[in-house]
Amino acid sequence: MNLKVDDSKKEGVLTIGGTLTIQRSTALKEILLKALGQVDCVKIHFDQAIEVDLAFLQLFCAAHKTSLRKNKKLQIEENQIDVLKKAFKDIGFPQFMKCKNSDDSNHCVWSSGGSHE
Amino acid sequence: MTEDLNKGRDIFKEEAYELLAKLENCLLELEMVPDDKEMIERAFRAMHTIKGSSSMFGFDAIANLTHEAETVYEMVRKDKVKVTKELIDLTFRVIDQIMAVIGKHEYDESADESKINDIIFSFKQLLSKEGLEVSHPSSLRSRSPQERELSRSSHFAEQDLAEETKSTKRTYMIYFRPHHDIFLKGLNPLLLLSELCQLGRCTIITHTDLIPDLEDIDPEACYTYWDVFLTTAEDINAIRDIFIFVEDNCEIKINVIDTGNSLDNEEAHKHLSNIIFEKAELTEKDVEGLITGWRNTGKHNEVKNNSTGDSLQDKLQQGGGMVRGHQMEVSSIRVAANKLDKLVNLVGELVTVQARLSQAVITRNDPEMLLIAEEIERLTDDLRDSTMNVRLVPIGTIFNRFKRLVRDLSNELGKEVEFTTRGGETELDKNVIEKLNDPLVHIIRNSIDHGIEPPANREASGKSRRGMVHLSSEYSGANVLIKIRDDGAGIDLKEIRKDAIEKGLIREDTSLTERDILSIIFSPGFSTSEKVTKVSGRGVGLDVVKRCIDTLRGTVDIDSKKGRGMIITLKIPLTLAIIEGLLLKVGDNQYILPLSAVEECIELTRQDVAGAHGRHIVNVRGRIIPYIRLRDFLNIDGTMPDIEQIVITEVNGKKVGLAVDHVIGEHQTVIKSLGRIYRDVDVLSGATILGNGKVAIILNIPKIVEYTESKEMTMVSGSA
Amino acid sequence: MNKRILTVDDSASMRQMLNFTLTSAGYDVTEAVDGVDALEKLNGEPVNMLIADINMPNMDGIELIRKVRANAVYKFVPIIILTTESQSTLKGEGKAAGATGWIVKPFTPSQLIAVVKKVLG
Repeated sequence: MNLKVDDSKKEGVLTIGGTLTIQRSTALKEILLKALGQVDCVKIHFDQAIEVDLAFLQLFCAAHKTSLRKNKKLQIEENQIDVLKKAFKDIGFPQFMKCKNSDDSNHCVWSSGGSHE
Repeated sequence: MTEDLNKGRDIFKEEAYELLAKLENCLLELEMVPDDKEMIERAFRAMHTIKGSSSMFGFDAIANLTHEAETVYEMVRKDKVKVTKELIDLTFRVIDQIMAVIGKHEYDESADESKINDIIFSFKQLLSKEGLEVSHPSSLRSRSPQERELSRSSHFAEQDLAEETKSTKRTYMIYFRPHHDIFLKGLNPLLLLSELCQLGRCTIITHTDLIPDLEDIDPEACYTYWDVFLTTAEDINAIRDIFIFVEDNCEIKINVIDTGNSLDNEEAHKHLSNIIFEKAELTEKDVEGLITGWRNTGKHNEVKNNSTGDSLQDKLQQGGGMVRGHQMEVSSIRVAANKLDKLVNLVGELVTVQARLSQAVITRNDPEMLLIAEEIERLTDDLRDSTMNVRLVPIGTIFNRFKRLVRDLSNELGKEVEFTTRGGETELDKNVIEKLNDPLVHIIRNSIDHGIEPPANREASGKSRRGMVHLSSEYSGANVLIKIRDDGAGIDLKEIRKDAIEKGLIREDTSLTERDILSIIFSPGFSTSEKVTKVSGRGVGLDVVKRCIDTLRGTVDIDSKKGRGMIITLKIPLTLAIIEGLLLKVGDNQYILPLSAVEECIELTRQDVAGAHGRHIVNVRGRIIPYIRLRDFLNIDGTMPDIEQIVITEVNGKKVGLAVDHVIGEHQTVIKSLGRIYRDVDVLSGATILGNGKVAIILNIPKIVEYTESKEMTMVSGSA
Repeated sequence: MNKRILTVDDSASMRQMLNFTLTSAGYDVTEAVDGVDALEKLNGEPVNMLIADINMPNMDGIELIRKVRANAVYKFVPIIILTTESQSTLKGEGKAAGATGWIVKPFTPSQLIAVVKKVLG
């Protein structure tokens, strides 16, 4: 887990990877809080294949909500969606799962991995 | 697959056998102390384990039996049922039947369905007699996932049939809201949802409105909940099954919103979810509208195939070689006995070769080689000891079987017998222990049948009602002494003598010591029982015992006082395969005597022989000891050395000497059998290969003495 | 990487059956003979799942679950207990101690795999 902030202090890249499950959820929460506290736009980069679970999805969803409320941005890097999709597939994430509050953008974790082909 | 199943079955049989032995012991203990909690617990656990494994390996009869027994013992654990003789007897019958099923029975009992049903019935009666409800097995069963799994798959089969005529699919709306702490139970709601998807057409709507802001979220709690639309041919139980583990950890509502096939298409599902998205609630009207809208489209989407291609069966077929885990983290392993036999044979060969090496090195007188040879000798000795040690098994394993024997016998004969054992931890070669079983059974039967008197008779003669049979074992040098002692009627020497004369075993005027008379009961064709009982005295007497012990190179000794009881002592060499021997030379041939039988060696000079006036006796520190000249006994020609040597041994409490040309020294003797041709030559007990490659015969001292004595006796009686 | 399952049962034939079935389904299996042995084998190392018998000498399944759950490493690990139908009360006890679910003995290999898939995926 690593947070890299650029010189403008506006944008930061949060690099995470490996097992992103409930075992590490407390640490993950802290680094997400830290990232959203420091910069306006947080980009998520996966440095390796990831393993996710419901706790991760909730945490990400919470972070997303917080970012919207604070008028900040939380995004998964464009070319990283496939990593998330693969992780969803690995855990048997139900294909037709949609979030009621989803804005159908790539920034909602529920829809980014699940409903897309 | 079958091979693995068979392997599993074999393991199960072995395990069941061990558990039954334990169970048997528990029962015997319980018989004496019926409320021994620890024993009840052990008995319960043994039955529990047998039951659990048996039906998995296809032994349904055993599973049914143990189920009944376990049910009763569960009641016993809870103090609702007392341990009675009836219960114990019944449980013994369970053991017998299971033994019969797994083919390990010692008595001639065969597995029999009617007997099993009989026992099951008796268990049920036992419970009803105790005033307890006779619970039918199925009523005991609470919901288990796989049982429903089964009903589901059979449901599948029915469905397939129905599919051709009409396929009705219902659409369910499922509300699933896990409790906050569901993760702490190791539960993963996503897996359940994906399982739900496998039942049919499924649309899942995730509700995230309860997920708090990042600052407030407890990362280990669950905030998410779901609405699911599922169109499936499965009934509601199949859906409930999926949630079986979470029933207490979530809020769940399952409603049927349509019973026709109308909603089984993508558009309908999309509309349903849209309604939820918009209104958060679904009314009957909404559904009705949808149904009429889609009813006549006639679109029947293909049924999703639920069978998963990667079932266990498939995998098994693909990876035939993938047997058992690679992690064998167990503290002990099972080894087939024949593998051990092979190992012992190999070690035997090694010992022989090592002896040759040592001898060869000595003749070469090369110090470096000598050092290596000594090292090898030491290692070979260690290897031999360790190998022998592996084969050693505590004799207690067979002791325990006798408890059952004594119990059954005394019941049958109406006698009261207390059976005690000591020294069960004494270890003997596995093969020896197996061969000891039959002789010991015979002796114990004999003790109870002929030795121990009926309770009334005992009391009349001032003894306690209960007779005593004590079985003990202890080390004694390179031997193990097994003693069977009883406080029964003992042996009437006059009776035996009379009997033996009647049967023509001895002549009326033969003078015999007490010991000689006692040893008659081991003669073939001698049986003291007045009437033939089922238990013993079937025409085969204790001579069978003698023969068995002979094959083990052991001895039988008997001591008895009329009215006081009897002690039979079996002296058994620790191991069969390798013995410490004394190497001797007579003429050009070499012979081995078991060192354990040797007491001392003395010299025999020409003067000694001349002083004895033709009799084969020698004076050892004032004691006159008879000796047998092996040269004569074995008919060996050639000239005797001026000074012979006599090996003094003890046979049946009497000292006897064996005169030989030379005593060479101690020798590690690997016993080889002489083959079938020599099987009846009992004065030879085997052969061994010496370091120089030559063969030395192992002599059976007691037999040589016996043979010589009988020859002399006929000579004496013939001349009389 | 295969998921690792610790099986705990005092019956050798049961362990064999579990091991064989799970290994065939692509899981790695570690075996333990009772609760005490299981804790030794775990030794604080992560494991993906636990399958434990209830009736065992030394330390029974219920106590094992309590001890395992008390360790943060195994807070969320699925734990399945093996019971028989006559022990319905034990299911409740097991769940209270922190068990995820149960399998009723006897079971077939496919039933076992179905339960493992349900909680482990």
